[in-house]
Amino acid sequence: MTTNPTPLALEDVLDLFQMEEAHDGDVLARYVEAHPEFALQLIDLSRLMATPELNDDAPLSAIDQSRIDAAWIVHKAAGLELKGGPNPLDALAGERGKALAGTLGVPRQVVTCLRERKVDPSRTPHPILKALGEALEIPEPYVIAAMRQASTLGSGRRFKADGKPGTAAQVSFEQVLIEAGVPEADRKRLLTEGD
Amino acid sequence: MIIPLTKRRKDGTPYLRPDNIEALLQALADLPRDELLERTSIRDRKDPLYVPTECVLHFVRASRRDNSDTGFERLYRILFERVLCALPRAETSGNTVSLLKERIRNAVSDRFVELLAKDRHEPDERLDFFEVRFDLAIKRLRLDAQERAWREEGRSDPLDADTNVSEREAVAAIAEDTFEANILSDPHFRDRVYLAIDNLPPEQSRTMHLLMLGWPTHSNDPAVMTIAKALGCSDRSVRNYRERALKTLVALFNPGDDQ
Repeated sequence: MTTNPTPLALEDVLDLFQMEEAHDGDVLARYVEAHPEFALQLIDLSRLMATPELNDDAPLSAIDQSRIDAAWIVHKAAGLELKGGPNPLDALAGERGKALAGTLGVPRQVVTCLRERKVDPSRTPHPILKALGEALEIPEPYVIAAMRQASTLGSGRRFKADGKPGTAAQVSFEQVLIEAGVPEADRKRLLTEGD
Repeated sequence: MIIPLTKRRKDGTPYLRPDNIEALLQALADLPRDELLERTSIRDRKDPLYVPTECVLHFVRASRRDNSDTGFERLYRILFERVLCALPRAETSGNTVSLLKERIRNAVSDRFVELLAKDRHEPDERLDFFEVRFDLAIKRLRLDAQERAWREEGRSDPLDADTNVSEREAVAAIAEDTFEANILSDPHFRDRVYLAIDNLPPEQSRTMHLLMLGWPTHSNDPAVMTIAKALGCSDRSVRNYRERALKTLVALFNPGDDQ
């Protein structure tokens, strides 16, 4: 009795395709024939591979420069090891949490999610990180490091995981706003990256 | 010592940096930090002292513990500048294509920031391929971001099979055959066309790419892979995608002919 090999996932198929020596029409046809369910992704990847590299010498815009600043803050925070003791976000309970909710104009449950490290800092707008830093009186990189620290809460409020089981299921700040029923106009205001 | 990559392919063989990257890393590792920074800040790929981004990324990853080093910050910024330069910019016009490009650019750069931050916290082999073929790895991130953006925007070219014949005839009149012949024979022109078809709706850009790879629109032999079969549509739809795409491209490259 023969067994069928486990079907490859999209990422595996694209990995195999991109590592081929040549990427001509015959190779692509072979992959599309073998994996028709991923035909469009294979064709799109093949097209992007055929597209010449951009050689953009123009100076970066002010928005790009601020994007680099924000990226560096995130990266710097990733290198920080929070020393033992309580997570700074734990301080967002009680009056302090209420005050932050008022400052941001969001329901308390949004602040609770931040306190419980349910929110992914890389998917949280810069002004929100800044407001958190001001509320907690700590530099922004420490806010990000604190948000990255695994939650000690074993149960309680949960969102649907957007990752594989077993991985930390942090969600985007936008998702938290949606779950908390924040109106679209307010979400737009809160999700603006600003300068 | 240059640390080897740890990611493995499905068959168990490890990812290897190209020989030229490996040799350059060995040479660059001995440079004083200032000199390395000076060389990595060269953006012209034709400059003999240009340092490929695979190497820049390696040094950023290898310095993950240099919290206080301002040189490290400089290196990180150089790397991120290169990521942004590798992504198509949105024009200031603010039209649909521009907004889409901006969304894709944001999504890719955010994803890269996330991957690099995770790698700094704890080595993450998902970045290994970026040390093998950086440009291609960025294109993979673009692929993911683009697919999501297209889906969210509902960007497509929903042609029905009966799209008007008069348009087809008009398009045929503007020397499509010559244009296609140019695409196929002139490598420089092909490059320009590839950059241009990046802005077309997905079905049109796929059709043009497959035509440029020499795929047939249709075939009587069921064993032959055709554009229609791969895209899951009729031969007629493929012809419509082709004609619409050519109309846009001819107007772009010969603006006078379309007026």
